[in-house]
Amino acid sequence: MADPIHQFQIETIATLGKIGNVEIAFTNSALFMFIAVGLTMAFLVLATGSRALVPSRWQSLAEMTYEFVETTVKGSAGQEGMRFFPLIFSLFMFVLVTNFLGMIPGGFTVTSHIIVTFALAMLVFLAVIIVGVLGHGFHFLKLFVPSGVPGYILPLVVLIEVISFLSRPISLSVRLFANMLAGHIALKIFAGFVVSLGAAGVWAVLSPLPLALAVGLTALELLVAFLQAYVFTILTCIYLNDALHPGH
Amino acid sequence: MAKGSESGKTPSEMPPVQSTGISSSNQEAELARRMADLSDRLDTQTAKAGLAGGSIGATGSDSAGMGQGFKAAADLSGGVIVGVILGLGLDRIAGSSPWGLIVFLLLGFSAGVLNMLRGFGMAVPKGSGRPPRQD
Repeated sequence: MADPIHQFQIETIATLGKIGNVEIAFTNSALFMFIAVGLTMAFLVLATGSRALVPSRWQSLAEMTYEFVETTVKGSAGQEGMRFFPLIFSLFMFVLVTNFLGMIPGGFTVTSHIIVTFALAMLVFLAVIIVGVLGHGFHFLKLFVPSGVPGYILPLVVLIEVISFLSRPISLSVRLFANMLAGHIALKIFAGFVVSLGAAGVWAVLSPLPLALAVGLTALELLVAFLQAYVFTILTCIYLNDALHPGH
Repeated sequence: MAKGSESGKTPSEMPPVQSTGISSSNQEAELARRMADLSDRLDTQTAKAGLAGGSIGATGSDSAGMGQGFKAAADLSGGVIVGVILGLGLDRIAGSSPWGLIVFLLLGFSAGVLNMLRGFGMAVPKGSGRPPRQD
């Protein structure tokens, strides 16, 4: 049967040079990141190029994307959150497009590598800390002190709150990565079943079963690809909201 | 890009013929009432969805259950992983092995459970003194 992990293999396309002992290479992962960014830019630039009052189909698709993210940002982080709209919109489009590119047969799923999702999550995490400290200074630490907790238990609660805060980038990245990885492996395994059952003589009559499952899983994976991009976005907004309004 | 559809749409976009004045104003009042009702219901739904935070697919289907499972797993493991990292780091610096690991593993587990409960809206939201939502 086809190796279900093989699809996540990083392959070097071109070597750009070396820094110390680390090879700097242009890989298939980087290629798909470039494709995702290129597609997003082409979509938005071409779709909004005409700026018609009565939008064409492409323009209204671009406007729908904008309004969808705008509603999410305003709903979770309030009007002040709109300052970070460019960051959040870029994150949403990048995760969404890379997730969808992974659904194309033969495509590479960038977000199925934890290093990529962790880098995105750390970007959000550091942005939250910088925004919080710049905006509120020492007051930002009130985030870790819940109100109405008795004094004798406060050190323990603060310690747990700090650990809970530090675990955010990990749970944010693990959630996206685990969903994409598990979904693609399941898809590959069921697709592999179709082939191996088909080659197994009499058992070939059963091969439509995993085929039907693979079709259903493909639809589910498309949903998950969108849902995870949305979840990543809304969690970013919730964390930014903490940075904008700590301890309220 | 949408040349054909726009020319084909025109008949349906024509204003409706004003047949009788009274019935059309009645209809408009009815329509306004229904739209206000709908927007009220949408507002309450949006507020609910905003509180739930990322559980838009919670319709009881398999995919929603899987999503919630992944969410809980990520929240819990996040706390435990951070606890282990902090504990091992403290042990290395202070040479207190294995006490740092033991204490921070327990604290990390508590933080993970707290994350998980918050993720499902069952614990007090961060920083606010409100009681937990009962749902």
